[in-house]
Amino acid sequence: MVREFNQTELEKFAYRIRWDIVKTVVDHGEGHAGPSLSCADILAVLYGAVMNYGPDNYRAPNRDRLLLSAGHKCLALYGVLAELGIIDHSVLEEYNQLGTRVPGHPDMTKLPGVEFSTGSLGHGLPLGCGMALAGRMKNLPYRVFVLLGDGEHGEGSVWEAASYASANKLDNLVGILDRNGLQINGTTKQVCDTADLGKRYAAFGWTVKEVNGHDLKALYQVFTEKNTTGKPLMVVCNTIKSKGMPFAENNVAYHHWNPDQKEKDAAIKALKEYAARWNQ
Amino acid sequence: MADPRKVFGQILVEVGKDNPNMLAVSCDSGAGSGMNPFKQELPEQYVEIGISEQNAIGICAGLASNGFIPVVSAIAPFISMRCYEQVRDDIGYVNMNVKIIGSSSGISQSHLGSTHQAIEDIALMRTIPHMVILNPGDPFEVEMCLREAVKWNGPVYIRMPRQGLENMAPAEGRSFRIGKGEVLGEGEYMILASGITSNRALRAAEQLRHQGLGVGVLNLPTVCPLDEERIRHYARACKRLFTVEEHSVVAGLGGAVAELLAPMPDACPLHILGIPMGAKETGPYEQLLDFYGLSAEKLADTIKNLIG
Repeated sequence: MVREFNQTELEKFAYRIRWDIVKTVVDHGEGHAGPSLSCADILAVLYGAVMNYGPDNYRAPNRDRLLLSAGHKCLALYGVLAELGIIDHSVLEEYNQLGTRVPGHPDMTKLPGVEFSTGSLGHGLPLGCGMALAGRMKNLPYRVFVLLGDGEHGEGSVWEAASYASANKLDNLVGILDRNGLQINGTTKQVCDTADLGKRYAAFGWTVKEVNGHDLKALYQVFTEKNTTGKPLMVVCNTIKSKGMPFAENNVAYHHWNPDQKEKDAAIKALKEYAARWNQ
Repeated sequence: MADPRKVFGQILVEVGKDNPNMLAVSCDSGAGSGMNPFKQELPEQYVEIGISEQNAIGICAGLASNGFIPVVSAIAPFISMRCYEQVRDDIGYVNMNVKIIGSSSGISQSHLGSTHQAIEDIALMRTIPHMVILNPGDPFEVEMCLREAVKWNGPVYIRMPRQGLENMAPAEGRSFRIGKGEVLGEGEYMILASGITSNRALRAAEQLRHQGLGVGVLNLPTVCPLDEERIRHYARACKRLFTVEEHSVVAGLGGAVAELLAPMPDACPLHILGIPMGAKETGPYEQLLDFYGLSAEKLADTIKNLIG
């Protein structure tokens, strides 16, 4: 929902998302914790204070939409939907069970609040272009936010959509790059050291801004600032993979987390220690 | 002889006028698909994406999830194969209301070689959940396939011919329903044909009847869902069945019929006629069809030899 910025409220929201991510994996075995944790602050700001979206209007035609192009970050989205009350917290208990509504990649046919089923990288930006185009054609003033991973930018379809968005001046489209610098077989530089992604989007005709992806205030400012450039906006968020799980932060090995008891305990302990600041 | 692109283009305009949510979508392919009249008359319902089929399917899915009915047309191999994953994930698995037109279908781009000749598109589209597959073979069917596809609630793939078409029977009195075949003569041998091969199958059947063989034709403009009841009936009633398609002999119409017949203890033998895998000959269209055994004369010869 659209709200004034409140640092503490958003910190708590982001914390609860992190708690949902970690607890779900701890209780149910394994999941993409690292990539989900790196975007928790981004989602907290968007869903907590920026987007015209909430339990009262999550199906309304004029709602803002968020698409997880990097669908494997869905543990964060599931946490958001539970915290907003769009799904019940008990749904998270189904994770990794047969017949779950919260599978390893989000499924729009199974869960409310999932704008589109994603999982295969590179699909989200074209989908987002379609949704943004629909909004323009119907004269509805919603924005479409598409959250992408940095490794994901190896997929050509992302660049097809980037060209299209710019050529068609889709200024109601906001790309968000969760730039945590890591992918599966190494850092993004090790796997495929390309030109800077922000510069590439600028060359493709987008307006590009860069922020610390864990600075709630900076995120709020960049997402609420009106885009008068007539171009689609790409917000490059510098993030830390697994942020909130100190033993895993910035570590390539935690893309998919399959914790033993020691790591489970360490993760829960770290979150509780973080939350202690509000018990004072 | 009618130019299928002209028929398609004209009906697209009519359907678009009746339905402001219907969009014609081009991948730098609109002109080649016959969409120019639409672009001129209904410019606000025309979307040009450029040469990026994966992107185009994603955009169409995004549009469809917001109440539009995109009709995207591009040369068949590009719009069915290059973006197969997008068609699978963004349209099929989520039952999005997108209509995909594979234009210049089959080997109708007869001089341009295998990259421009989709003989595997039916096979691929058969594996996509919820995908209806239509294969019109004459001007009547081009019109009806497009009209019915736009009315249909769910994804549809239409193979759109490029070369001149003749009605296989007068349009008056004919009916068209998705999933229903059209009986064009019955006999103890039945040819199950689809698309542009139906006309040729009809002429082949006529030739064979003059030679004393009882051959009829079941025209199947819908490849998926098949007209199962009718096909099973002929499988029981006939001595042999022959499927004919402007498509690979692997996993197309023939494969679909074979899958249907396989568990039937009382089905007659089935012969699958079509284009061999990996075919990459080029030349004038009718000569190329004849080269692959799909002219009326070659079909008649092949079927006669198989009957023995």
